[in-house]
Amino acid sequence: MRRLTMLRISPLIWISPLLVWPAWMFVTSMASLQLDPYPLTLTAAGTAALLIVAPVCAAGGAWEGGRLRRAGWFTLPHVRTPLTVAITALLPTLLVGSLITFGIIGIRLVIGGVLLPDIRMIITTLVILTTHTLLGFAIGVRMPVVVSVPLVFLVDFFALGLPLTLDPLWLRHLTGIWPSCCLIGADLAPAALLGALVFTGGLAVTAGLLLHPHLTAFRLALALLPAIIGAGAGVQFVRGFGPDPTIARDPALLVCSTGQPRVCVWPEHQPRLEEVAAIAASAGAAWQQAGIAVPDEFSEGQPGSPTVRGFGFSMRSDHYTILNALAYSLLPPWPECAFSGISPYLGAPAEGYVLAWLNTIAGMPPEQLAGRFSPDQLQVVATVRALPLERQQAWLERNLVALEQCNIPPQLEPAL
Amino acid sequence: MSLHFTQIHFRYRRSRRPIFDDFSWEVPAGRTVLLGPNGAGKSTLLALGADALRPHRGAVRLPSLAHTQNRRRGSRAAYRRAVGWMPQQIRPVPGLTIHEQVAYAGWLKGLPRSQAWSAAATALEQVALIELAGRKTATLSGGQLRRVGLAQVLIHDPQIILLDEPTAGLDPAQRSRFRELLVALPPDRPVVVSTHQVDDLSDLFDTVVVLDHGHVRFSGSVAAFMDLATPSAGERRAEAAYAQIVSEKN
Repeated sequence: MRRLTMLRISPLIWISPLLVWPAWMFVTSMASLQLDPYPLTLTAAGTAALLIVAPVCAAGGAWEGGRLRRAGWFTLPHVRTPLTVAITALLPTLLVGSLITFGIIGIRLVIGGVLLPDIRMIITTLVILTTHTLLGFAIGVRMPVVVSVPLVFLVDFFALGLPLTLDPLWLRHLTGIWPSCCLIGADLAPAALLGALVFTGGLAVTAGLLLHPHLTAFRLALALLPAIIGAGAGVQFVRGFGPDPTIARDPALLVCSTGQPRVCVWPEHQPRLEEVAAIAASAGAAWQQAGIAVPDEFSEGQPGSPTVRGFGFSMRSDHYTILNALAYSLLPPWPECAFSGISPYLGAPAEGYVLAWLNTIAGMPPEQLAGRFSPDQLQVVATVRALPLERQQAWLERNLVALEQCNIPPQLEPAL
Repeated sequence: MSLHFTQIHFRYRRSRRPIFDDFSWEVPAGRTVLLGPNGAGKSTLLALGADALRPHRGAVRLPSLAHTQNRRRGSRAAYRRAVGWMPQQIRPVPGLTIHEQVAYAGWLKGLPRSQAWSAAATALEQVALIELAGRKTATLSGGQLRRVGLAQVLIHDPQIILLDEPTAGLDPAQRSRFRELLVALPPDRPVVVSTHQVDDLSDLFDTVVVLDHGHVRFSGSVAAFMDLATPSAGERRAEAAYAQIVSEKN
């Protein structure tokens, strides 16, 4: 069929303007959540468009399958293979689906100041789009179009969207759509990617086998096998993941300053490295004067030694948010009871007081402090700051111990 | 350059009785009319010849492709391209014009896209539809659709042409038009036409084959076929000859 003919008769070409508005709404609503120019985050957020675009393409595929079914052509003895016939008929549908999805991803990337998308996400998106469209076609050649088109759209819409609301949480990773993936310090877990590709690949093979012109009950059962095997294997890969299937990002990517203390940030934050290093140097000097042990390094990666403290910020963070993040990194990690909830974490209330004190020492102005801490916390910190340095250090030591342990209550009032 | 059916065994999945059992036949050169009562196996035979159906046993071969005759994909493709088959039902592909539908049929038979487009124009000229080429096939009459079906056969220049009931359901004027097209088909290609209509046999065909219950009851020239009629048959000799053959065996 001529390309011009394919474009003229494709329903997706005609309804594509109707998809532009919801797509634009989607882009603008999600753009406000964007924090960092991290290609993985931006690409992943853009792939959420698949929740709508993939079912629409699948329904378009069912329509194209229905066209050949109505003409009685699919079972004729052609020279072209059924897969070639299907893919050729689906090209305009896939073209429109890809343009809309990649258009959304592209806009997200441009707004985020990133040029290149995450290639793994792009490949997964193409595989998902092609598979769902092909499945729609395979169903379309078997059923009347009035049944197949709405059925395919609804089933596909729920198949992609419903797992996002279901327990176990790992179930959603089989769909290959991770709209909330990933913070800048995290990378997509290869197992999740593999699980989604194996699952979707199984569906694709099933769709291909369903295209057999003479589909008997035996061939139908045989065709379903790859989908079942793909689902089984996919589950093995994704089982155990939480809502976001992530691993720590490769620390070799960190970019570090040369001063003291050293500051290491992810490459996307490099434009602010100098500024962050200056804040760390200034705050570090103030903390050292107050007798606080300052680490050798503040890093956005996972701290690997006691002399390295982990911190985080985004490109939208202001000067004092970064200072607060550095101060927070000086606090000890939460004890186990804070996560398990088996025994109470008595030291928890100390966190805000100690953090306010550290920020005050580092020179955070009163109006910034007032925006971050309660009047009670600031009142206590003001009282502590009025004490001699040795008594302030003793107050800090007592409360750091309380923060580290589960069953030691904090001593917030300096009079105690 | 002919089509050979050798010791064919075929039955439909839901039928106990085979349509063909140990059936052998060689398509003669020239134009052949395939006659027979309903259920005789005419359409099944042509579908087997077109590779739309597969025999459970036996083989359907084109000797000109003998060296490639096996189940491999390439040889099957060559076979399918060499055989032109027009099924009873010609349905429009929704949304396509006549030119587009015929070109699509050519592409499905393996022609490159651009070649299919130009060959479609030639095929439409052959079936006298070129002036309607831009019309949607969904708007065509039954007779016009049959001509589209014939163009879909001619576009890939087959070595043998199988036409299943090409004039069934057409009014006399449309039937006459279709006969003219049959006469104009390339004389060097064997043509098999299954039909219930026995008028004008001598003007159109070289050979008559009568199929009944999966067996060839008669195969011979039109003259030999006509000779089977009783002298009293008058102008309805073909019908009388046909009735003679079919009633003899039942």
